[in-house]
Amino acid sequence: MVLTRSRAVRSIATPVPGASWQAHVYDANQVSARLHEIWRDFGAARNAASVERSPSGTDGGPMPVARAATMNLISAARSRRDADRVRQTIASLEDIHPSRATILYSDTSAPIDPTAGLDVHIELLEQTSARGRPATVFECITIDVSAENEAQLASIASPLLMPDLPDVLWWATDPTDTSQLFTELVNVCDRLIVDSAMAVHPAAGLHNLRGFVGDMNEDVALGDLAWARLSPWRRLTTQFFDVPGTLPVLELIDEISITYGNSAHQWPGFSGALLYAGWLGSRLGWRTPGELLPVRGDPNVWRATLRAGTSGQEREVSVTLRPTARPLAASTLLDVKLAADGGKAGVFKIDRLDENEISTSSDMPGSASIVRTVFAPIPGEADILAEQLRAFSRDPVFEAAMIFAADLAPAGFTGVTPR
Amino acid sequence: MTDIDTQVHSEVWSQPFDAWSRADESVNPLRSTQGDRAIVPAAMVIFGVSGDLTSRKLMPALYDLAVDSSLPEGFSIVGVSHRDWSDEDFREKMREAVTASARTPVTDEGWQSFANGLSYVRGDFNDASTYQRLGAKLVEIDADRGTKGNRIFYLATSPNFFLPIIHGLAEAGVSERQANYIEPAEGWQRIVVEKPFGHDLATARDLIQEMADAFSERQIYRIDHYLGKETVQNILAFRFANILFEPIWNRNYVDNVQITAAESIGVEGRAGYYDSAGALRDMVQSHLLQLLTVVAMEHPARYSGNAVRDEKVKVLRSVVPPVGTEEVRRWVVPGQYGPGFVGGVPVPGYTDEKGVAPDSHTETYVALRLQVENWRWNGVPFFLRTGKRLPRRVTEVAVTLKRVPHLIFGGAELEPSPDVISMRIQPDEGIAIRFNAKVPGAGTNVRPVRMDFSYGTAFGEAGPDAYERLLLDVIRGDPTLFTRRDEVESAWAIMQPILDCWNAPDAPSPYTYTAGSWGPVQADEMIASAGFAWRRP
Repeated sequence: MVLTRSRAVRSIATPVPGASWQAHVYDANQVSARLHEIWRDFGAARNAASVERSPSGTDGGPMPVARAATMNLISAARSRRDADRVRQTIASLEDIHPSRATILYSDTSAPIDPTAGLDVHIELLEQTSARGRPATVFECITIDVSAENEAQLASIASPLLMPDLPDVLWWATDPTDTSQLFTELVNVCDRLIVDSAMAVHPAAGLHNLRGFVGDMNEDVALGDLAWARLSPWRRLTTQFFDVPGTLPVLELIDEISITYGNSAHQWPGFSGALLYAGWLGSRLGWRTPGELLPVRGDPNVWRATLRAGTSGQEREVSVTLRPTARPLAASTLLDVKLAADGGKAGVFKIDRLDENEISTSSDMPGSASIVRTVFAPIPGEADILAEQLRAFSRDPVFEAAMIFAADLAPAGFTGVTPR
Repeated sequence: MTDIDTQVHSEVWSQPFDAWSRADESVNPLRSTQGDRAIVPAAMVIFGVSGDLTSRKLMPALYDLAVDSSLPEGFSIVGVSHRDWSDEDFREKMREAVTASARTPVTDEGWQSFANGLSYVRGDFNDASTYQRLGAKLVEIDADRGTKGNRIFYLATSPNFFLPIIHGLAEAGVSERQANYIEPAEGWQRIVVEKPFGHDLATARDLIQEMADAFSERQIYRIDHYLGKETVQNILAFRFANILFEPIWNRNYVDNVQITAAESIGVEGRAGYYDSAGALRDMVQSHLLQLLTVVAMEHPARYSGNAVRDEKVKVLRSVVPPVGTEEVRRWVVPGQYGPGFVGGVPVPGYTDEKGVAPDSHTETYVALRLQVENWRWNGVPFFLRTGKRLPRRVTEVAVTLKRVPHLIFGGAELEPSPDVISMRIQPDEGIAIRFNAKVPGAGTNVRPVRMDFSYGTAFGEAGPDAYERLLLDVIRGDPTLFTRRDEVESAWAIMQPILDCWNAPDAPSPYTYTAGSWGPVQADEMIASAGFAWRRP
């Protein structure tokens, strides 16, 4: 069970004073050497403070700073803006965090620097913790090369990974950008995290991911931040059918209506809407003979007709995807409605009320009609990245949903114009 | 004797399966894994809803679970107490409690959604009409909120009321004893009991038997909140998810085990209960013995209900307590704090505390040695200590390994420190290993160093509160982290010889220790007589 708190209390890790280094280097091994020095100096400073507080120390004398390492995180960015966003997100990971974060940044818009070498910035970040727990200190390395030297980046990243830890690649850019850098980084990682909402063309993004799952090394686990944004929506949908007596109604679902975000200044929630439909379809054994088509008279609304049920008892399931410019949808969904047997057997609704809360309602003949409100703040990027960092193995439920979603969106389909 | 009755005597021993099976349980295909078990709507009846436990722990935890959408829609709570409250009064009181103690901020919409499931029944626990009104209320909730007869009865009351409530529920037909091995898919009933489970072995057995007449063992959840703590569960992960430690986790390599639960506070308003219980009943019989079992148990077949509890019971049955006046006086040291300073603040002695009898002989500290006589642990002493008004709050288990048989470094005067694996339960949860390392330089001196895994600095997250975890387990029917009847009996059986000795007419008074110290000097002498010394946690 993942328990999230209000985003209002999220704190951001701050640089440890004096524990940073910035330089232009020609050999990546200098980074490792400098990191060692920074930790040594940091440990000495902490020990001095510790001895001052408790002259006898613990267990017979002052102890050096020891670290419990949990994970390496590598992230790739394509612009200074993206790199800053990535660093900010990593610094905001207060619940779970990498022991070493390496941000690789190759600015393709900048003038090519003819000088070989790397701009390196190392810093120790300290995350103060709630509830009186000790502060967390981890290292963040930003490496900046010119576009011409991008080929260097993967070779730099590999030796910077701390040994014996899970290695996670957060590909914080368009998932359709499968360059050589992407391929080389995936080869040194155990887990790949993308955000299919960031795809310029959603269908192409999902098709790429489907191809990746089909082709990739089985040891690499794929995660998607768009899928993580759906967590409360999937959980609440599932709970409708935990109630005894409602399970048979699942077999009668024939209408699904999804409203997804498509506002300016936010990644569109279109891939999330597709993944939600894909999740239902894959879990319930539906088939996708049809593809998304614009609804006559409203080209922004898309609909697909799926097939459900066994031979001789087949039924159609209508899936409708509708955009909204309301910022509340926030790169994912605004509301979902499921109807069974045209609504006669049951109607189930989930609506985002505001930034913090979602309401659910279920209406079934002969059963109590209950409306409830749950605390489900709109997650920030750090929230959903944290959720994805908790998982280390392949997620067959996500993979099946993603493949189903890719089938719903045929190649070349762009859906809506991304903002 | 019915079929159910014949199961009473065998139902607690070595169950042939690990999870209680559930009749006609259908699988929600939207749930992704087998372990991702559905949570169905239920009504939780809390007896003693006006008490401290409800307002500080239960209601905030339930609110956090509800607004986090871990509870199903329709989940309902009925408060029962003698207070003259209306439903609205009850909701208002609970809102104050939740606002003060819940992790999640309380909003009007969130509260309203939660409060729709709250209702109140006023009544005396000894009055039969209370249970008739409660029964009528539950039928009403079934109809309005779809709880379909699923009930949880939570006894958050003084132990004096356990039996009146259990009898009242049964006689009014509100509760029923359900089959032990098959839980109905709908209309299941569970009862949650807070410690103390009895005052001694005899009263514990009486309580167990009385409860067994009204509820099958499958329906009973005895809460020891220590087992809900992440770090206690992590001891199991540390031992059974790693190959590194298991080969040395035995009498061949372990020198001694010390379990410490120190509190810096005094009785803090619990004098009424504490003065009749004391540290042995309040802490050792429950929390410390639970810690001992997870440290000493064998590898369970799997991580589930009876498999884990079977192994814990085996450990308790292997514990040999001190028996007889001489052994008890030698190996069990009771203490009572006198006035002193804790953290620089002057504090009164125990008998000067409000609500404590001036001539009280209740122990606020106890240190003892136990032996676990089985193949794995024979000859390894387990030292347990707990107390109030000690220098700081800390709970830990320290496993000290034997010294190396021969040291090749340094002069003969150098004796290497033993390696220590310490598991901190609270605060600063984590695991540390002390071992020897060479001091840099031309010589070959070694000194102890400490390698520390801290939950806070490694993961940064604390996990859910122990009550959230345990309440959710009750609601979804997972008994793994709850105490089974044979555990309770076995734990009391270890304590009983000590209680018998202390209850004797010539029993000595507890030794006085200064508040803010680590306990009476006699505790140091006790462990020294065995050839060991207390750690400074």
